Amino acid sequence: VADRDQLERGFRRLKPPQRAVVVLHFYVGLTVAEVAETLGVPLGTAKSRLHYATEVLRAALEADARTGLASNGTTA
Amino acid sequence: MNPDRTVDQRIRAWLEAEAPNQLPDVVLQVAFDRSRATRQRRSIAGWRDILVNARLLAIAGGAAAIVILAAGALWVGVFSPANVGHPTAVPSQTPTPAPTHALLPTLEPVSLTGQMVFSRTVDGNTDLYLMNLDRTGLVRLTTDPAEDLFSSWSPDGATLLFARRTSLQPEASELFALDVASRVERQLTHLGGAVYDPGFFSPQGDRIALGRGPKDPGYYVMAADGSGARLVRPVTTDQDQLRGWSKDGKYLYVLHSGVDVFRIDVATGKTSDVIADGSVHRDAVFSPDGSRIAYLSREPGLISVANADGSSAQNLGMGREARDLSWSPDGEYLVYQDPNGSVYFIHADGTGIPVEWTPGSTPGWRPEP
Repeated sequence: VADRDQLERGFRRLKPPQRAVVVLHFYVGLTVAEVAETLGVPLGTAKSRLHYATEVLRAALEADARTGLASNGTTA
Repeated sequence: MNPDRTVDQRIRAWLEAEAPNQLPDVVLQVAFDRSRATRQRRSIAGWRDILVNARLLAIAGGAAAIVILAAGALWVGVFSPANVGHPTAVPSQTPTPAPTHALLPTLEPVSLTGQMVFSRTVDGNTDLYLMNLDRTGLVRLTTDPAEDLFSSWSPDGATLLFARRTSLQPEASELFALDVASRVERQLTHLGGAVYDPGFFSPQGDRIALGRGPKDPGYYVMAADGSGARLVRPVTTDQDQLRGWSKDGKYLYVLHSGVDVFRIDVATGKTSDVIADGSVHRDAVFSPDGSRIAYLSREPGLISVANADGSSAQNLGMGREARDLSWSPDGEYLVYQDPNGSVYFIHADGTGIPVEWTPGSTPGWRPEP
C-alpha cells in the first residue's frame, strides 16, 4: 500500500479511542451512529473523534506530499 | 500515492491491507468485540451472552408482572404508580428530566445506604446526576450543554472532579471541581481543552493528579484548588493511562497499553514496575486500601480481582465488556458500566450476582461525608 508509512505514522499519533473509531468506520464499515452505539459514547463524541482522527491522517498524508514536492524541487 | 483517491479511500485501502484486528491494541480489540455484538443484535438469531439473555428474561418478566399488576389494579379500581414498583424520586434542587431508559421498573430493590454519582444523557445532553443507592433522591448536578463525565471524589465526599468536553472540533476537555452542597463549579484547568486523563484526588485530598497534552504532555500534580501545577513526568506514548494514587499519596499508578502497571514517584518522577506479567489489566484500579486491584482480563473479558502485585487473580465471571470500573469506598463492591449503558455493582469477592442500578456511565460511589 503506497500510503502505508504515512498513515501508520498518523495512526500512531491517535489515542486508542480515536483509533477505534477509525477502524470501526473505515474498516468494519459501521456508520458513525453505529460506532457511537458500539463504543457506548454520544453520537457527537463519535463524530468529533472521527473528524479529528481523519484530519490527523490527512495531515500525515499531506505532510508527506509536501516533503515529496520539496524534495522534487531541490533535485529539479 | 495516487492523488486521485480521497483520503477516506486511502485510509480504507491501508486498513484492509493492515488487518487492524491483528494489532496489539486493547481498545481496538474491545471495539472489534463490541462491533460484533452490535451487528449481531440486529440479526434475529444473533448471538446473546448469558447476561444479555438473563437481562432479556428479566425485562420480559418485569413487563409481564407490570401488565398483570396494572390490569389487576384497574380491575379493583385502586391503580396508582406506586403499586407497580417504580423507584420513588425525591424532588431535586434543580429540574430533573425524566430518565429516557425504560427499564427502571424491572430493577431489583437495593437496600444499601449511600450515594453514587454518574453521567446520563438526556435529550442529547450528558450531565452529572447524584442518587441514593436505593434509587431515591435523584438530583441533577450539572446542566451545561457540554458533556460532563465524572472523574473522582474528594476523600470527604464533599467535592467531585469532572471532565467537561469544551470543544468537539477537535475533541477536548477541561477539569472542573463541583462542591456538591452548594453546586458551585470551579474550572481547575485552562489548557485549551488539553486534559486527556481523568483527574484524581489524592487520598489525603490536598492534591489532584491529571494527564494533559498535547503541548508539554505529561502527568501533573496540582493543589486541590488547581494552583501550582507541577510536571511529575513527561508522557512519551499515547498508550499510557493514569489510574490513580497510592494510598500514601507518594506514587501515581499508570497502566501501560492496557497490560502492565507501573508507578511514578511523585517527588522524583522515577518509575518502577508494579505488575509486569504481560497479562491484560484493562481499566486497572486499586482498592481504597491499596491491597487489591480490579481489572478486566483479556479472555473472556470479565472482571478480575487480584492482590496489588497481580498475584492470586480471581476471575469473577461477570462484567463482560464492562468499562469505567471503580471500587466502593469500603472496598466491598465494584461498580462498572455495561455495554448497554447501565451502571452495575457487584460484591468484590465474587459472591452474588451483578445488580443493575440505573442507566448511566462513569459511576462513582460517594465516600461518606
